[in-house]
Amino acid sequence: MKKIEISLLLIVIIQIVLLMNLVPAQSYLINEITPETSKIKKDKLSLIKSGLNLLKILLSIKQIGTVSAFFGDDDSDGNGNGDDPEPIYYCCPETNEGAHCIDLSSPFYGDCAKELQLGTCSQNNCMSCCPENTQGELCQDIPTVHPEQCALNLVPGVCGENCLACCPKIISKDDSNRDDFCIDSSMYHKNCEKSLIYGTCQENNCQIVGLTEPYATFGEDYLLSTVGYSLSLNCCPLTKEGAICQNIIMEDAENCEVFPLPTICDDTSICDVGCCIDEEEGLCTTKATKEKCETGGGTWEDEENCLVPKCQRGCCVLGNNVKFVPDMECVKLSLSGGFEKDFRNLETEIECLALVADIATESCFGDNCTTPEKKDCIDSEGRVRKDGESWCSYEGYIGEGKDTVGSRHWKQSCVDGEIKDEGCADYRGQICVQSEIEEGDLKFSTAACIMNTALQCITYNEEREDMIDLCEEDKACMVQNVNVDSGFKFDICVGRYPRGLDLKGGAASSSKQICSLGSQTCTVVYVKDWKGRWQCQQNCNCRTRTFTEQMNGLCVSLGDCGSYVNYIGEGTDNIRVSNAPGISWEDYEDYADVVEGQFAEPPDMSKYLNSISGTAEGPINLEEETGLQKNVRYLGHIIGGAGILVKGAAALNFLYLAPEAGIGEIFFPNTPFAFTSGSLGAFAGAASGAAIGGMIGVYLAKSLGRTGNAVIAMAIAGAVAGAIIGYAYVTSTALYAAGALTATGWGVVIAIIIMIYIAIIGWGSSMQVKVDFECLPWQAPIGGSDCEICHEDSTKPCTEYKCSSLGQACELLNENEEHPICKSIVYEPNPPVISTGEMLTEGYEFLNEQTKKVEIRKNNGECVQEFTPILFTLKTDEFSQCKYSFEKTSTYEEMTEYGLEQTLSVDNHTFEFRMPSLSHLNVYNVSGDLKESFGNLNMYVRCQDYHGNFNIEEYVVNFCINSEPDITAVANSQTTMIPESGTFLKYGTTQQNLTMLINEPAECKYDIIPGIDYDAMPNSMECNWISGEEDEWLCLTNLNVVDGENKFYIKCKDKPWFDYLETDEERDKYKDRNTNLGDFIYFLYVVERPLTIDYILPTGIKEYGFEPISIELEVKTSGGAENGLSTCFYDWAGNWVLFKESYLGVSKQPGLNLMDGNFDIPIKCEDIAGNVANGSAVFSVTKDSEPPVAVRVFYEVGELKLITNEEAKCYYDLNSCDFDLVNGSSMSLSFSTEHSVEWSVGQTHYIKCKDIWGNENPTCAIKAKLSG
Amino acid sequence: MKRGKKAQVTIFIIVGVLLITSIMLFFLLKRDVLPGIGEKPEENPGGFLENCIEDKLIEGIKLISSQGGYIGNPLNRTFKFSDEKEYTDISYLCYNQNNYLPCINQEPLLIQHLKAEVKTYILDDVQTCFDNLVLSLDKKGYVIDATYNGFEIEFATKKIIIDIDGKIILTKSDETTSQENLEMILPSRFYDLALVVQEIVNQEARFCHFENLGFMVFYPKFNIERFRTGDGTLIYTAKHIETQEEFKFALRGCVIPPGFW
Repeated sequence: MKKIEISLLLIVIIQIVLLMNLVPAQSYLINEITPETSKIKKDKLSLIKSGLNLLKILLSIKQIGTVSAFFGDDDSDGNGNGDDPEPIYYCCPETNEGAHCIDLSSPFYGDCAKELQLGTCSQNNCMSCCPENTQGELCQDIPTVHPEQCALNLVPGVCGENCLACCPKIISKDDSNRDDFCIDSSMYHKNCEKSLIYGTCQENNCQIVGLTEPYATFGEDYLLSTVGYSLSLNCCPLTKEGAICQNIIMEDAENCEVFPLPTICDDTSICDVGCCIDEEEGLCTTKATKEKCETGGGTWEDEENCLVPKCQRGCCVLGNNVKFVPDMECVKLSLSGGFEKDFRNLETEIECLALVADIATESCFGDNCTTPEKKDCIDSEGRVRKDGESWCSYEGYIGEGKDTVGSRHWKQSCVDGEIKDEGCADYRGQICVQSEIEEGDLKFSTAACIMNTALQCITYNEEREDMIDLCEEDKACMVQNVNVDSGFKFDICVGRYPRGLDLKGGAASSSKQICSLGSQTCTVVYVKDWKGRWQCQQNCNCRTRTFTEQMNGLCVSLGDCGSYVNYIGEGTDNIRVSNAPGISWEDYEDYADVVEGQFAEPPDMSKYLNSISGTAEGPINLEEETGLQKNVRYLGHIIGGAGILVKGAAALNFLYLAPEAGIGEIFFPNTPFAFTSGSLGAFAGAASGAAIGGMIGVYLAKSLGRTGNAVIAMAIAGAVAGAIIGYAYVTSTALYAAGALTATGWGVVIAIIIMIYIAIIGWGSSMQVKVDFECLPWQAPIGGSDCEICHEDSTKPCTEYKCSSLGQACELLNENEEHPICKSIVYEPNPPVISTGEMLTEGYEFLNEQTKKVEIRKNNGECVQEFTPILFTLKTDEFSQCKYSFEKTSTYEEMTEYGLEQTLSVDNHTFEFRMPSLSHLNVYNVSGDLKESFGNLNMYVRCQDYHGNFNIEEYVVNFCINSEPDITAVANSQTTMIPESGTFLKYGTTQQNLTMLINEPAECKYDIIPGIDYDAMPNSMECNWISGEEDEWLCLTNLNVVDGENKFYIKCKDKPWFDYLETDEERDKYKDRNTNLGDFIYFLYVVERPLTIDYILPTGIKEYGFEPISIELEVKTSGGAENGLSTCFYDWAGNWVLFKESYLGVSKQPGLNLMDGNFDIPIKCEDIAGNVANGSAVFSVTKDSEPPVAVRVFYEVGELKLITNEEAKCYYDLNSCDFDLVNGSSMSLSFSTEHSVEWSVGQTHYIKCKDIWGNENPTCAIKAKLSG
Repeated sequence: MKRGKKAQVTIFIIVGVLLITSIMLFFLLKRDVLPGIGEKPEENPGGFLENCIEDKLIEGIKLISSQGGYIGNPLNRTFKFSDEKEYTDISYLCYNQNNYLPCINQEPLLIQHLKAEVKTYILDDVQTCFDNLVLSLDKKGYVIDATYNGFEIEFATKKIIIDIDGKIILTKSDETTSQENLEMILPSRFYDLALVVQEIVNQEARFCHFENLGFMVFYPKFNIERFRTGDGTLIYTAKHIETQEEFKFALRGCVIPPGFW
């Protein structure tokens, strides 16, 4: 009998242990460095619950089955109409009452508002627009007399091209039904919940995203200024302001003078951008829209940079002057100037100018040449600057992520003895870079304002492996290294010159998102030693000043965040640190001082040279020209561009940046969420008694919250006991047999004593302390005493950014003037007056509002439901910052919590408070007082205005929590899945981590079979319902997936602590656990075919007649997640640049301006599942600058035939080779290699030819004397 | 020797008389326009019209140049430089309301547009001047047969040309003269500045940048200044240094907003 009992006991133990194989993995985790130690405490309960659940499953017989039901909408209309219409003779297009196409008989002619038409409307084919006919077809023109053919009301007039529309979501009660999204519709449908968008959903590339809360997004065209928020762009041909061809979002349609077109402007016929050629004036205009050009009499060509033969520049000699213009402009200039046209095919502006004797001292531009006197300048540091020299000027320390708030980069230049100041884009949107040339004693510097690519730096963090290299290569970026402790260290790529944030304006709210990237938590782990003292084990340095300093360094480098100073050295503290020493802005005062000789370096030019120029090696090697020479030549085509190489390249930098690229997810290498199920099985299969015993020891240690050496000690003790028991069982020796009790029994007793001792003294107990660093947007100092410093320097005008950095009360006036002034708002001593704003959570309201107090209750007056997040706003009568606390304080400074606007000054403040569960508080030994206070809770709010006036007496917002038992299960609608349901996974994926954020503490399980009861589900998730962070209840698991569709059916069971309630009274109080009855369906799709590149164009050799030439890259992909749909990038100067156009798997990038050479441009395409296909565009560009060659002349059927080596037009003259082609007789009908003229015996034909690039024979291509 | 001197003096006198006579004949014969009408400006129709229209034309050119090439345009940026007394609505010649993106050329045929604007500005005045000319001649006692069919404007380096499509036939003392297609030429750098402006717009639309310093180094007759306003608008001022004529215009493209988006 005892054997049976022991056997049963062992079976149970083994089952528990097998189930508990998480234990050793997490023990390992604790001894690792990860700060993600929040799992430690939960283990003891998760172990218990898992074990008990399994037992329940084993011991239960469950009925498994599903019942499905469909509710059909059997709506049938049976309206009959037996009217027999009277004979009708006239059709009325519109009646006095507004009806259209009504047949009227003679007594009712007067009812018609318009001229009657003889015959019926049917006979007159009077049509109306049917938004949707009975067959479900949209926008059909049907006879007005047959409204029965239309399912909706007819709309007067024909449908036209603007009828079709896409409805992002139709009105329905079920937000999770994916069939309700992206519905093709018409502009006249009334069942659309969101704004209709012109064009079909396919045209708008309407896509459904998400499963639990699906929503529609539109295509890849979205406003760059709202990264992360995909919106469809429409083309407004003319705005109310008078601007032509502007891309707008549909919400801005009211600002459009005419109806917005349903696509972006580039895709419309009227707003397509190209080159406008004014034949009359001989001018070419870049980025011109088609309609505007053609209606004005211009000729439009589809090459937006005007890299077309007609617009190729050459040197036009006008007497003593020259101009670098197209041939046709030279004609006009020569004519109006009274000169004979003298156009020379010189390639660059500098060559052209060199025609005039000495351009260094004498140059002309459509004027008589004079010799300008060169005047030098002396800069602020006393250095002599040459005329034409430029250099950078700054307003404090620059670089290393330390540019001060409000500072701006300036470019200064010496022009005719006068120093000119030019501000780079404010908010450090541009930085000033400088390059110095030294030759002997001579120094010459050039400077330029170039785009600050701090955004690009952030995106490098996506490239986990290459991040450091990419970041270090890019001079605008730097690697910010945070190395506080072994468990809290990471590298992140940030901008070397942080971008400024909007300190006051409408975009200020985005500032907090940027700064929040610098908010981190370091978890410090303490473990009790054998004496019972807490010893710091992990991340101990996080509790020192080093942590705060390094984190503030990161925070400041993200932009205007953290504790830092403005450009005059005044600052504020904008960080919140808990459990570590603070830091003051005063430590950074020195960064406001300008560092002499400091300047930003320009980007590495070699990348751009290689990109533009290709290589001279390979099969085509027309000339030995270096990249630098080519670049000079390239810039030489730009008026004023040559000779300012650095700046030119900097300008090019603008071209090839990808500003549309959104901010990427930041990857902190050492702080990913450590999901441990990969460790599962590490100890699985242990069958020996010792192993089982060891496992039990570990389990006990874990269940008691022990870590480190204590775990090992318990494991050893357990192993000893287990070995003995195992041995006894295997040898069939009864454990309790008297004979065996002596040795084995004592061994067990000793082991148990050791374990009890450890349990009593607490050795190995762990404690974690979270050290939080919160990075907040920088705020200007209180008041406005420094405002006027902003406009003291007349050479550097004050701006909104500078002014707002000087004080919260500073305000910029006269913005529309060259020198705006910064003034302080008039001082007033009154604090902001707080009042209620808007209740943003449905079903709740403000109640019993008094001057300084208000209550928040349900609409029926009841207390707030537990777990319910309450979102509401409070208003202030002036701009201010607000803080709150749940305990009374005496000053604003003592309060610690900000509203959602954080440190920003606004007049509408948002607060979110998530009501905890009273039962939750109760079970986990939260003190009765706290429960009391949460049960009737006051939120104390104070606000502080620009002048530092804050409310002495707080504004009180009172809540109370509904203590009624929770009778609702986990809400699927409030569940967030990571990754989202419906996500495509990469080809070949077999496992996928899933994180499920749920709205209340619960246990969750899943199965791949629908309709299984919760208890019968075999796969449990790891849920952190013990962590106590009320807003972060999450469940984790690792899903096995196969190719194609994978469906998982999930159910949760709340009140996970319920089974541990001790008394029936408590159980009655909290009622039973709530389990989801229906499955929560989660989809994943594993891509079945890899993404492949079908072709890349161009290939081979491309021949052009001029430089630079415009090349279009094209790549087609197939396979992958969406049958070839992918996002493609090409490598340009080391940066991945998004292709401009993408449609049905074909991506195009027009307008790459290249010089001749061999090119190997890497291309990568990525689909939504992350499948990547790589390829290269390998091609050569050659420039044809040679005139055609006559390769053969012969007689054929009475004609002289001429064959040229390339397509050309040929002309002849009968007198000499010295003739203009325009005056010659043509031998060609079009560009061809064959040319002919009638055979005339005895005559000599002097023949010249011109190829399609305009290369013409300077003398005769051939002389043909014809004989009999 | 004395005889020789006398003969020499005689020859000088004869040559002098011939020279004076030929000069007189030259002017007499050259003045084929309205012979005998007199030497006063109003009696020289070209000169009269030039004088009449000059002020209005200069005024128009100045206005259009200061307002970005428009007499009036709703797409403008109101601005005042320190040396100005009043705010000016400076038109955008290139504009993109979205951030980061290059500007869209708003007047691809700039020269044609400027011609139209100038023409609009002086339209009534040219006819009035023509009428005044006819009236003036009428007062002088001429019998006049005049027709006016409008005018065209041409821009060229250093000048603006106004071609009046009209005809004046004068009769006095049985003598009839006629004048067709009166042409007025006014010195101006407006065209040269407009070409510079077009170049700036072209490069800004293409590169988001115009290298004004490089341009000024190569073409020192021009001074190009650029002012960046708080909202990212660029206001360019292209000035012809010698004549101090200038052309201001606004441009919005590749604007970088605060922060990351």
